[in-house]
Amino acid sequence: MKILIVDDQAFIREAIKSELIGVDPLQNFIFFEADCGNSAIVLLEQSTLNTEPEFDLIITDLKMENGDGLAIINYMATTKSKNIPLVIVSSSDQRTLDLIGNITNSFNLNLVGVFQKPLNVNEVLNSLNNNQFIAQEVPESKAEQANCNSANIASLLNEDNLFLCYQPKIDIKSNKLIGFEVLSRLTVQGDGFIYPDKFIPLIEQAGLNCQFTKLVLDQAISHWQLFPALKQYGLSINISASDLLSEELINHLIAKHLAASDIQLMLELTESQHTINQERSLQAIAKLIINDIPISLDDFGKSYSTFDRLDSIPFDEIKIDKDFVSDLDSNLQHQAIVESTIALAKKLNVKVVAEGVETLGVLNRLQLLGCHTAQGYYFSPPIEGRYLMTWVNDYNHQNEVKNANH
Amino acid sequence: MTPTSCSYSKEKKQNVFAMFLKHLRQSNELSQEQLCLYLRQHSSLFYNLDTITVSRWERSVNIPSLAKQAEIVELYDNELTSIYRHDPQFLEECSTLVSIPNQSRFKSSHPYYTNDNYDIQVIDINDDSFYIMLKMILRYENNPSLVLKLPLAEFDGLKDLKIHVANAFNDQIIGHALYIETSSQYVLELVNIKSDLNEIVTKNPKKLPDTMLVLSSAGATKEVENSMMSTYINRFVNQKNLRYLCFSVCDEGFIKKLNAAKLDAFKVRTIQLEDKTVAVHSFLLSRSELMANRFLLKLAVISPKQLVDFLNIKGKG
Repeated sequence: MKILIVDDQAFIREAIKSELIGVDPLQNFIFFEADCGNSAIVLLEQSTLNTEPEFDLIITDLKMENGDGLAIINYMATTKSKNIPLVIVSSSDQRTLDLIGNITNSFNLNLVGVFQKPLNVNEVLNSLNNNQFIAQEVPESKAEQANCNSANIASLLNEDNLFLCYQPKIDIKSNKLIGFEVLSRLTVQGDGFIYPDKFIPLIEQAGLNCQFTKLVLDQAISHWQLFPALKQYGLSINISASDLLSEELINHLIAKHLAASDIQLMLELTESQHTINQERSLQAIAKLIINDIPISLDDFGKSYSTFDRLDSIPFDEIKIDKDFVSDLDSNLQHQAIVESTIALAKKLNVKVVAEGVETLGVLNRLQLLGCHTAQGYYFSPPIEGRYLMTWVNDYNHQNEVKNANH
Repeated sequence: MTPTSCSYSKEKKQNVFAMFLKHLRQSNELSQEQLCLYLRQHSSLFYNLDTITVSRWERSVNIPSLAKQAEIVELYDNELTSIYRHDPQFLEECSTLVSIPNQSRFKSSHPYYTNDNYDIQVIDINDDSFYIMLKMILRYENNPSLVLKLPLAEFDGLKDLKIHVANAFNDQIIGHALYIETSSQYVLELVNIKSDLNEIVTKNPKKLPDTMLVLSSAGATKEVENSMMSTYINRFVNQKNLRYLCFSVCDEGFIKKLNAAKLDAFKVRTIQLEDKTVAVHSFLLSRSELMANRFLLKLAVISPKQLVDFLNIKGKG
């Protein structure tokens, strides 16, 4: 059994080793050690390159210099090491341990357990024996590579493959429809819908983000032009932080908006991972706002820097990410985050949109918390353009019936 | 394109969609310009369409994605399934998905089944075997959100649950499907673990159901799996009131199959069951999304009668 032990203190590694041998003397343990996350990642990299089998178990501390336990988790989540049974040991309190457990599970890692220090080796081996994890097949990604990857993304990105859907935003108090967010899909041959979480990173990587934003804008605006009844509802389009760096795109957006000034255009700004040139993007945002294009701060709460940005940019609304919203009524931490975001937004006089509203319980809770706008499957999954008018008419009709009965 | 494939392209069989377009223009007496203009005026997906593209579509030089084909076909009051249903080449592909392979020692996950003939039975609450089948399927799926706490016989609403079973010789069960047609809001409550099967079977949707919720689907071989899927997917596309197809399943094998068909779960919820964690994977597809997926489109066009035909001709192995 090949075990990798990661801890910055040599005596702890020794203690775990001798305990393991003590508990199960017949087992042929082969130990590997690393004193920080980064050197553990090097060992993991080597083991995937070699033909020899990977580790059977990784035991890691959380808090370390030079790459902590989270660095290892992040590395594992994106590589073949994903399926290796993982034991996390920490002296943090139970809440932090729960959080780490949630993060690890959300990456679909093979988590044996999160244990408090000092490590009880018996407990670990028992959990390992009961571990029923079944690896998620990797061939899935092989099939994906065939239809959407960094080599072909440039050729896939054209108006022939772009297929827009629209998801309604609803005013919670009045139940009124106020607008739509545009959501893009790529449709290539018979592959169904390819979702943004797959292709947006590829587009950003290839530097095609401006070209893509233009395509989306043009198709969405033309939809609103084809069905003028939609003009009473807002039209929100996503832009990325890197889009802000293109003066040409900003000018294109403004020109489009001027040419179709009866459409209530809004831009939802998503932050990419890389840090952005503050000054240039602030200028771009100012230019858009001066030209009457309001900006919404998307995925609020997912990025670290969102709070400073709230301070320096006059956003019109902030959107709380669906991960915090969809289980709001059963997850106290998420509820606390949503509650304080709404309170903050109120003070700053900014509207709040909760994304990922799927159940009545969540909607009711949001109303109690004073949230303005809701978006999510509870109202409707994203709607294909050709069904949009029918949906709008049905929704408004149902609302009228409801109001008449009250 | 290489010169070789160019020289073959003339003899290439006409694509179904190309034929549909040509036929459409002829029967409506439209020129390519008129068709192009119509599409530009009625769908933002084609706001920039030109006649060169239309001409390429008709000559099968380019073929738009199934999703875009569906848009055009629906603008002319038709559905993709009814176009593809009449194409012999497409039907041939459908047939290979479900017909029983010739090799008798082909891998099966059932110890006593190796590509023998079978038939598919629809079971409802009036059948003697309904409760035992339901219990068996729930046990197979092991989805903690589907546990019925009271004795089965006390649930009136179970009549809405639909069961399809594949029976081989001596009534050996080699495949099953369990689903219900209900409202999307009830389905979302269930996949968010806010409700359980008890509630979904006891609640009667106020309006016509808009969602088909598949709770379990399995087969001893790949082909049996496919034919079980085709039974409910065909039913789904034929009922226009159904707008969403939702799978909410725990069976790893079936989840892998959906992934391989390029579908991704929109929600994974884990539930602690005794000492084990079970992950419920939920997939939600709109009608258009389903038809834009070639694998699902193939299963969708197979009618029950056609399925019987396909199952009676042995595959080419």
